[in-house]
Amino acid sequence: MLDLMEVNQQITKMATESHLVADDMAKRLALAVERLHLESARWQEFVDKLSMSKTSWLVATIHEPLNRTYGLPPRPGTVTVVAADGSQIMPSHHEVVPAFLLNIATVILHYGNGGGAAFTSTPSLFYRDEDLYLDYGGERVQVTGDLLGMRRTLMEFDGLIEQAVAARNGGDAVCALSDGSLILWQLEGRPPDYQESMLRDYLACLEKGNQQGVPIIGYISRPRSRDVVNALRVGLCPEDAPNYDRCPYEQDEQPPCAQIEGLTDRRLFANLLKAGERSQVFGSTSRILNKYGTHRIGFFYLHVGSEIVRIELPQWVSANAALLDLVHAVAYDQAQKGMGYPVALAEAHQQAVVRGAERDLFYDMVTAVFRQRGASMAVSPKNLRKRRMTV
Amino acid sequence: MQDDEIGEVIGSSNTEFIAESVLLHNSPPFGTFIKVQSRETIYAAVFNAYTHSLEPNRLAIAYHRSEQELRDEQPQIFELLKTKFEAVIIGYESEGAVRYHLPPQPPRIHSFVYPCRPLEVRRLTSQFHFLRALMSVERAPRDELIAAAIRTAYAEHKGERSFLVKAGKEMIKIIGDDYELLSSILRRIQD
Repeated sequence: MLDLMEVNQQITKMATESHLVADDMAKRLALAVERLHLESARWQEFVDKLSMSKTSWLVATIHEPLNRTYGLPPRPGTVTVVAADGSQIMPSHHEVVPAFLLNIATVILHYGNGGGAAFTSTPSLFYRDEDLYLDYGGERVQVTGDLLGMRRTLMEFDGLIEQAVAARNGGDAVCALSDGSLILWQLEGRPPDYQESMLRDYLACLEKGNQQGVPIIGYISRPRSRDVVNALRVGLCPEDAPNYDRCPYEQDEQPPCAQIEGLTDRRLFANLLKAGERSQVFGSTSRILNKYGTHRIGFFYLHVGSEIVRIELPQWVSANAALLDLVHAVAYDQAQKGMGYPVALAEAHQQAVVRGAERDLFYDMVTAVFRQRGASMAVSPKNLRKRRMTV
Repeated sequence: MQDDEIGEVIGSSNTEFIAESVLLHNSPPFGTFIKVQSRETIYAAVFNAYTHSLEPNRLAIAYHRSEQELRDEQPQIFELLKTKFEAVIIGYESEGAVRYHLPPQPPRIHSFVYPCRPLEVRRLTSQFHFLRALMSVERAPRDELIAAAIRTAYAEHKGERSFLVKAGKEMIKIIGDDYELLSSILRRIQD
């Protein structure tokens, strides 16, 4: 039972403190915006300084003045937007079997030609030992948590590309939307064979998109990234070649670069972009991208009207002016149609989601089938107890 | 030759059923005759139709765009809407003959629904027992429903004045002294 009286007091305290933080953030933001224009005026020198610096943060790679913005290009009259999402029923030792289920949904929306819409929702049950366990750096581990998430991501991508390529064969311009980042940073530090195998499958999907001329983008709502702010922090450092290993200001109460610490790029670009406009395409220094080859991911910020979003895209999309305009226009248009969030992604989520009642029904079905076959399967006492409370 | 189905039964009882329309916004017209291929062929008259969101927690909202614009720019809407129609059972077919009473079993869920052919409408309405079934409907204006059904039937009894006269006499028997209802129906048949 939640003690709501106690929670209420803590909420009040939180609100007071976050008000203080907001005041401080406004000051930092003003400083960051000033810095952004300053560095834009001498951006080539800034690029040099960035290339000579060494930091522990992710720092955006820039190719033109930071304050350069791009207006909204027109969306092609006919275009097909494809999106995918997935959800899962996690394996549970407390249930009759430790199986798990992945439900992958795709949405295909044809615009401008009366082609209509198509939804798919495909459940896959995983129950064999080779599904439930994975050889992971020489160890046998259960597929759950991140590992399960990774498998789901790959299946979503497979579905996304399959539908996008099919739509492309129909002759339309196609744009494929994925929810979240295309940078698989979570693979960093994983056993090499696991990392390699996951990346191989993932990049194969991107390559299919490339072959067919289908741009694939990651749409990140309310991004928390600070790559550009971090670049400005390098700019704030009085050193010619900042190096965090030998920082002369380390002992200072507030080192120069800490003046705008804590800001997100989203706040910064809310000051710079008007609705429909995007930033330049920045490069990311995420280490995992060194393994992406021709599919190296970059990103831009886009003002979709209700918020600043981060759009991630492979190099072959940003290098192609027509594809870049297409994803810019489609991402904005999708957010308008979906009242702030891309309609294709929202519908894909609706199709994919497994609700609590459906989860229970799933286990009821499993139990019933096992019972019919005479197996003496049982739910763990802990789980039974959760389902039936008594006084 | 089998006609194309226009709907599928998704709920049924001894007296009524509800069906999902194959095409959005294309339910069979109010007061027309339809049939279900179940154990027997069951005949019914349409008394209600509506279109709504497929998911109970998703409301339809106004977009202020023409339907064509919506089909071009918000195509997902039309996948998420369903048209349903309700019909009152007026009889069924058994051993080659039309029975003018309720079938022993309700239509099976997921049975297909078809429009009645002209000949079937003539057979069904050559007797006026169906009027009594229509009178029992509570969720539609009775005068509207009966008048619409008689207009549908009259169209298949090409210009037979005697059909209308017989229908009038039957109505007087069923409706009794509710003069208001009777005149309201007659007015609606004449229009």
